[in-house]
Amino acid sequence: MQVRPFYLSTVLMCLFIAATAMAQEGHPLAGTWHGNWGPDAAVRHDLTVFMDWDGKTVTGLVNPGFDQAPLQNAKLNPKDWTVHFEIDSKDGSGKPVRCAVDGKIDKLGSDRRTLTGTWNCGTAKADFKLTRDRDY
Amino acid sequence: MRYSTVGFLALALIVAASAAMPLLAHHSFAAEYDSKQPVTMKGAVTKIEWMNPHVYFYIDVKDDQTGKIQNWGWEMGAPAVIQRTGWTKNSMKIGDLVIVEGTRAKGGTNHGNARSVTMASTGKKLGAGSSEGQSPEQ
Repeated sequence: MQVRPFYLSTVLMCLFIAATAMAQEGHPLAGTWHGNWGPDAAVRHDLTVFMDWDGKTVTGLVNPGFDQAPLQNAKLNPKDWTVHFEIDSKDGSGKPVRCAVDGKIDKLGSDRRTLTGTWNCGTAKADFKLTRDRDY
Repeated sequence: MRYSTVGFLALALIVAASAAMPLLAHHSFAAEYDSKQPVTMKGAVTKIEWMNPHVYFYIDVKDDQTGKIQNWGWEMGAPAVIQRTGWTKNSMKIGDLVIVEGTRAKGGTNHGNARSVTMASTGKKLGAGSSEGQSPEQ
């Protein structure tokens, strides 16, 4: 079968542009996420989480700049897109407390994917919801 | 003209239009920003997009009275332009506290055009390659 150069170059150009667009999206976990956490619907605290994935480990920060806390023991299970990390924080009285965060990434195909789960600090139970910032 | 040729030409047109979108992002200052709304704010860097035609960075700004946080997006010049004013990709990192002087976008969104960025930890001030004054007011 003979393929005309014009058709071939058009198809190759389309593939190149599509590949470029896909490359910009990055890993589903990586990026900046905004949302809130709290014990119930009435009491919520603003929350920003930055996460990155180098292929082996998850790194990042909770609330960058403001009382920021680095992620510790962070793990990602790409089979079900569950995420676990821990941070050192302070409770309402100012005492140090360890927080364990477990969540699941949903809407993987969306550029506004979500991460929801539990946000437990010491004996205090809470939940959180984050939405990944859109790439422009 | 055969239908297959028409189809391919249409496809090529769509591809060309898609490729032109980044060029549209390279807009004039007056089209998007209100020079009568200069703003200065301090915040923590949450995201950096080092790309053409403009570098963007985002900061969380905390209201000290309510504790509420708003995320602001700031546009700078092209990477090549701000590199000439001293910027490198490592000048600003996630979590850095910065003071931004710039101009707010029209429409009241949390978005602006940065004139300068000062690193709160060191006091180092860098120009942001603002396009303000380079195009006529609209």
